[in-house]
Amino acid sequence: MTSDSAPVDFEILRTMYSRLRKTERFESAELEPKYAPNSLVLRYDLRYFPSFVEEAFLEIRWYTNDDFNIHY
Amino acid sequence: MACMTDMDSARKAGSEQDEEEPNFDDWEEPSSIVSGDRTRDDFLDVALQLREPVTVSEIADRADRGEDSAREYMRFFAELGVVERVTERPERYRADRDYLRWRQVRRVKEEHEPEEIARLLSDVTGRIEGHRDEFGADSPEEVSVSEYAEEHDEDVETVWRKLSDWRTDAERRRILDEALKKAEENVAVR
Repeated sequence: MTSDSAPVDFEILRTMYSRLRKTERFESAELEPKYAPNSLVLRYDLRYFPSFVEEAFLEIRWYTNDDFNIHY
Repeated sequence: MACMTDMDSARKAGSEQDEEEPNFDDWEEPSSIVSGDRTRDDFLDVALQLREPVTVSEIADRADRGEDSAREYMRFFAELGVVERVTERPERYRADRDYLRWRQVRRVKEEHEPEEIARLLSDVTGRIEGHRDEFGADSPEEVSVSEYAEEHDEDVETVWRKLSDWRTDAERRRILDEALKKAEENVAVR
C-alpha cells in the first residue's frame, strides 16, 4: 500500500461488474450500492454452498494506483 | 459472512445434513469470464486502463491478442480520442483523461434524471463535509496518512481508506456536478 491514498477507480469496477455479473457463480452483482458506495459487491449463488452458509460474498475495491482490496 | 478458509472444515461438518454435491461444472472457466466476446471489447478494456504510457506489445499482452491488431486498435482509438499516442518510437499509448471524465459524466446523465443527480450531489457534498470535519482539513491532499494515524492512534490502513473515500467522493462530486450542468442545459434547450 503506497503512502498516499488514492481514489477508487470507477472504470475498473464498472468493467469488472459488466463481466462478472453474467457468470453462474454469482447470484447478484451490485455496483456502488448504498451500503458500500465505493465497492463492487458480488453475492455467490448459495446453491453451491453447504446449507448452513447463509451468505457468501466478495466486496471489491480497486484504486487508481492499482492497489486493491477484496473482502470475503 | 462466509470465510473461505473455513470452507473445507465446514463442508465436512455439514456433509451429513447436506444434500448433494453441487455441480461445479456449471461454472464457466475463469478465463472465459475475464475475456470479452469480441476483440474490440478486450482492447477497449485495456485501453481504458492505460494510466501510464504503454507499448503496443504490452497492450497486446494485456488483451491476450496479437500485436498487429493491438496496433491497429490503438491507432483507431487514438483517432476517436479514447487514448493518446504519447511517443512514436516505440509507439506508446495512454488513456485520454478527458475522454474518461466525459465517459463518466455521460453515464451519469444517461442513468439518472436531473432531480436524482441533484440528490446524489447533495448526498456526496454532505459526505465531503463529514470528511472535512473529521480530519479538520479542507482537502485529503492536506492530510498525511502516517502522521494522522500516529497522532490519532488509528490504524494506518483505516486512515488510508477514509482518505481514499474522501478522494473518491471529491472525484464523484466533480462528475455529478458536470453531469447536472449538462443535464440542465439539455432541459433548457428542449
